[in-house]
Amino acid sequence: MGGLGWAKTYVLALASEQVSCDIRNQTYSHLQKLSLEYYGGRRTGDLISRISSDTDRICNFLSAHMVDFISDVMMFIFTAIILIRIDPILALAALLPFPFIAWLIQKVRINLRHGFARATNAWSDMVSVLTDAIPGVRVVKAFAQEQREIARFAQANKVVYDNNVRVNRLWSFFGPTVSFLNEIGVLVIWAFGAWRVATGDITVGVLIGFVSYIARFYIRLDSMSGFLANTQRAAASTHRIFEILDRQPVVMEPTNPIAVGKLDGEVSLSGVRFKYGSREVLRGIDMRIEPGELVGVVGPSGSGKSTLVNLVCRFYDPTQGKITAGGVDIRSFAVEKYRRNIGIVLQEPYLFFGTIAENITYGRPTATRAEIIEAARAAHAHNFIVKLPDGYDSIVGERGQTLSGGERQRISIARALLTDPSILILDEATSAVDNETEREIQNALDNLIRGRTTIAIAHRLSTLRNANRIFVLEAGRVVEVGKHEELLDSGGVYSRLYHAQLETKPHVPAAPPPTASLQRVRVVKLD
Amino acid sequence: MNDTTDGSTSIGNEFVFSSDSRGRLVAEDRFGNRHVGLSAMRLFPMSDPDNWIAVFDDKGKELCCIPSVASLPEASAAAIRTTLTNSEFIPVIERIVQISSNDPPCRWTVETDRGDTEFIINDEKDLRRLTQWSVLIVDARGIRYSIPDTRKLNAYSRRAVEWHV
Repeated sequence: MGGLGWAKTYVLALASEQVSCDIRNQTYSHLQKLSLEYYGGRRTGDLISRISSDTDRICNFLSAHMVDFISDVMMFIFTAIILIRIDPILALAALLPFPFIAWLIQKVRINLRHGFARATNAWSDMVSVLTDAIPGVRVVKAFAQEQREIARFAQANKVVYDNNVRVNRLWSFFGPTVSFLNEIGVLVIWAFGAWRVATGDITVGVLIGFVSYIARFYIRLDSMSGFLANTQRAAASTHRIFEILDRQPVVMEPTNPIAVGKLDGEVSLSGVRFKYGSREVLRGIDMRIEPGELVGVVGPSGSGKSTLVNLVCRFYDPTQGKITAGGVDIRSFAVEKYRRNIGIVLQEPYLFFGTIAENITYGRPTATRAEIIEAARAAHAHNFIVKLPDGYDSIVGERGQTLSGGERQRISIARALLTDPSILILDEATSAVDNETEREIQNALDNLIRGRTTIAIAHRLSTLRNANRIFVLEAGRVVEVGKHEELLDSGGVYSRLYHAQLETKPHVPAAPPPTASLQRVRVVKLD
Repeated sequence: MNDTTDGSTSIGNEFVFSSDSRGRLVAEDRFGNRHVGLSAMRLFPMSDPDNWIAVFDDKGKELCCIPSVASLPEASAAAIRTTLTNSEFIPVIERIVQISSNDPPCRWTVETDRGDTEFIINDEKDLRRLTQWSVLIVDARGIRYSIPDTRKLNAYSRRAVEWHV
């Protein structure tokens, strides 16, 4: 028996861990497939909590409770059959408390489920406070807001506490109530049985046998009611997991995707409109970008620049119109394969915890060491990397915190270089760094954009002097197109923006030496 | 590897390396130019310690990069290896004699290729698995120790490492 008990515990633990592991994998892989739109409305802590704590609760339920619950149900049914066979009338009396217990279970179940859902949400909120404050600890300390963060966490923690207390209060009432009803049931059986013995309907032996079975019957019932809380806790967690799994990505994969291969870099937008909810951000964009062309996209904040590149990257699909790459609607390509043709350098480069080499090869893990070094040299990153104690094996810390902003940016350029994209997106790639670093990054960018279709978003208009064309966006429409000088001469929106930047500039220091393609004059950022 | 943007353009086999009488690394290029007082650095010291060695001149400018030391003539390879060994101090742990506790902070008594020593580990994160079998340990003073292949340790040492990593 001991061996069987061990085997049961081991097999259950193994199976539940496997289920839990599968749920985590499935949930996370589904999460990765969801579009940016989904993440926009979610807190990181909530998603982390769903994948970690909620799956853990399900695992706990499966390993510790489910089999016992099933075994109790079976024992309950078998005992009921035996009781009915011993004496159907007494058995009927034994079931008298049942309707009330069933009503109570139903009532408590709904409240427990609701309570656990609230407690789980409160837990997610508390984790969200942590995921918010811990990465931002420098800001917290810089503004001396430690006490405020402690209070914020304490408040979130108090909500968790209050919710758990509320559930426990309900639960602590339910368990003894069921036990009390069971005790009453046993008393009723004794009284009713004694009367039936007195009237000669049954023997004392039958009554004793019946009472011994009824005790088992009520123990099982008591035990089953004890599972109610765990069932409802697991149900609340399952609901939160399925909220993710049931979500469909807004950017859908085509049923019969067209093979992508290596694109030539030609990109066209025709009649592209896009809405975030009811707010229309792009209102009919027409644009054709030739292979290898460097185009700038400028405009005031909210004009739709970032949305435009988000559509080109297929982070979203247009609500109207279409985007083609190499003459094919990009919705006809498998999303992942299409995006392999795109490289992106963001204003705030995101590095993952790991080594420099791992971060450079993020988009192409199969790159050789020679290619890694070559990309780093071209991105002007090699020289600072060799100064680190572990060279390319140096750990960059979470989000690359051990590196400066310029160093992170150069790593991200090396990363983009290594993927050799046909279409390159530069989203304010140089605006978060100082002048000296910007020159370094611009040199790196020169190597990156050479021979590629490049769409560069820039607030500093002077960085686009060498762009083949500049598209000026205003309120979701292209209002001007042309070269830097042409747009300046036309005296339109671009010219106005450019001169506004120059006028807000307090002092023009000696101009830095111009680089091959992207030159820069010190100007104040527009927004 | 041709590079035009970030310093070094040469690969190591364009030079002949040697050590001078003062133990300094010397490189001679094919035109007979001698570069004295060079230093060497492993670009991938953890993941590929035997390859991709950068050589710097006495001003810290990268002179060349050696993709594979083994591909150099024996004398050149020996000079590079000697320079690396002299410039690095990462003792290789050959045996763990004792660990004071199952949880950090704990004192490790070990035998290394540089002799027996003791050090303190403050945090479990100071032990880092580099590959499936190799481990890097950073002690409380910041000194690093490596275990290139845990399979080559004795049973006690192997269990101790697996416990802590």
